[in-house]
Amino acid sequence: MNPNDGYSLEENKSANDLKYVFVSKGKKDIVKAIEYTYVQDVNDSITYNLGFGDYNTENDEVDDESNANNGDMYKVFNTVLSTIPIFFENNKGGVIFVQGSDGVPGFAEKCRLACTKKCGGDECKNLNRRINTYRYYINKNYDQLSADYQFSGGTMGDNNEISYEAYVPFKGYDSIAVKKK
Amino acid sequence: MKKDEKIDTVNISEKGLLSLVASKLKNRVLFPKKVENAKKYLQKVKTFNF
Repeated sequence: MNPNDGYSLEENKSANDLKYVFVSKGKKDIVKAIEYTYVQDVNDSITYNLGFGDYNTENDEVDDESNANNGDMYKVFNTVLSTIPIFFENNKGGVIFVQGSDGVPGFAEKCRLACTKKCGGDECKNLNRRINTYRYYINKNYDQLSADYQFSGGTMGDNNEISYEAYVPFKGYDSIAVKKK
Repeated sequence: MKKDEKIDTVNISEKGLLSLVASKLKNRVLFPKKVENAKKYLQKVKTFNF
């Protein structure tokens, strides 16, 4: 990724988390926030959630479910990705966990109540859209990325248990975990 | 809005705006629901290959 492909960031670091804010300059200016938050240790791996959403200047809240369609999706996504190497510099041995806010149980049912995509039957075009954006990027750049990072893909089995395996490009996953080699 | 009503606005640079927002978000968990969902999800992990 070319560093010039992203927006300028303002960093805010504390003991348990790392935050960034930047301005998305598409059809309108939208302040976006990125946050790495400690979740828990999984098999001795210190695991952090990567969250990302829009900052609402009126109510001072950050919304990770909004879909602004601001016309600069790739530049915004590149900006989020540009924070990952910085995260690993600050958290050596840490693991980043990514699960889209549109991939949690009940999302499709909720989305159908205000569907704007004319989805028919049981289909939901917004379901897993965010994790698929990350998967698309990893799949496209896997050879280059896997030189520096170890990826793992998580899926929920019929028994409601989650299994992680070494990431297989183009295979569907509910979540992705990544660690610096 | 009446013609003589004025909205107070302040011009602020992008850097100033980002510093202001960053200070407002300091010491807050921005995505508590998502972190909670991540906890619930990760508690169901049976195999983790790291």
